[in-house]
Amino acid sequence: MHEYEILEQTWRKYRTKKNTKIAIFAAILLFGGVGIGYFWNTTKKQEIKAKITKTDRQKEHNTSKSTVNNLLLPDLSFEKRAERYAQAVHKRDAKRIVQQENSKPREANRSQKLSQLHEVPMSSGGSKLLKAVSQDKLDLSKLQKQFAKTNDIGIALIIAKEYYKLGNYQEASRWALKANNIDKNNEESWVVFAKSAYKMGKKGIAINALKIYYKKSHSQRALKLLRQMIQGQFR
Amino acid sequence: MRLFVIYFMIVFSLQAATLQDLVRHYKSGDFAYVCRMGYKMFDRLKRSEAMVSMYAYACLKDDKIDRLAVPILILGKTAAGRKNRAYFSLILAQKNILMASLCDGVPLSGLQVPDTDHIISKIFNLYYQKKLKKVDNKYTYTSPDNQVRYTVEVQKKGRCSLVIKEYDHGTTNEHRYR
Repeated sequence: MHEYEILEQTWRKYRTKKNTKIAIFAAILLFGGVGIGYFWNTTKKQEIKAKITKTDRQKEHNTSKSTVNNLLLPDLSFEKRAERYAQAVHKRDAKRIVQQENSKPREANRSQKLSQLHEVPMSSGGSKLLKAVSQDKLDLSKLQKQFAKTNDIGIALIIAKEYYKLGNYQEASRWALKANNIDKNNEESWVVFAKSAYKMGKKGIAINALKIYYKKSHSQRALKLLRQMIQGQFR
Repeated sequence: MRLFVIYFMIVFSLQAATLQDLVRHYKSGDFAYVCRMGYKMFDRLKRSEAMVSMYAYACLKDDKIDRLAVPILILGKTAAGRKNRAYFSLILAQKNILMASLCDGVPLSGLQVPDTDHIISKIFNLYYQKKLKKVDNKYTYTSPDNQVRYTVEVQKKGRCSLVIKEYDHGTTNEHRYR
């Protein structure tokens, strides 16, 4: 055997030994790592499993407890909701009351106008008359035009009364006479005429007119007014 | 017309005041007032499930369990309403079953119903667990630590009624049910 062959063999042995050592070391490292990893994994799994079982047990415990006790309790959230509801209702009703309060004067005005209408005998131009009276301010010129068209005693009386209210007694008596010419038995026309004449200072004419009408109709209203005028109590 | 407006004003103001009054009395613990007034103005109450629940709960606290019947029919639109309906229904049923059994000796067994925090439920469960001891016309129960004691008396003068006396850690309460 040559010297170089022995040397080669020795080198091979040395290399094999070295490689084996490395391989063993690598294997140890590998298996160790895998082992540690596996161990770590299993402990973690066990922990998770333990946790899960614990919660499960807790759940089971709770459910078993609830099945044993099975306690049914009321939902008391209604307390706050009831309070809110009561407040809302209170606000709504208060608003409604305020709205009704506001509508009060309108109602009063309306009823006044209607009472004014009731005193006036209605005839053919009734609806038109109502339309005219329902306006806030009476348009006398419009009413006069309407009267010219319809010759309605109701319109004539409204005009007479409106003039009387405005203090224009001359015109009031004129329109009362116009109304009276249409219907001689209309009480309102006699009364407005007498009142206007009295206010103009024609006391005698007023009293005479009422006397004539009273004789004809025996109206208590005419009698009362007549007494007031005779005694000087009419204002 | 004016009278009509005044009438409505009075009616609305009265109703509003009463609704708020109910809540105020409920908060102050005057359950008898809430139950009494709620009964009178139930038409207004029934528009709100919360108000109905409040009325029913007040009646329950005032030992007027029979008044729960109507709220039970109305409740059910909301989850809270349904829960309260179940609660009130259970107590009403327990009371009626207990009355039938105690007054007329109707034998009932094998009942499995939930429990509530109400005295009727406590007595109901004790009765069906046969933990109530009958002495003369009274049924009694004493807790192991002697801190809680219940006495149930059946009165059969005219209409049968139950008188439950509750001694709980030094406080005494008496409930009457018909």
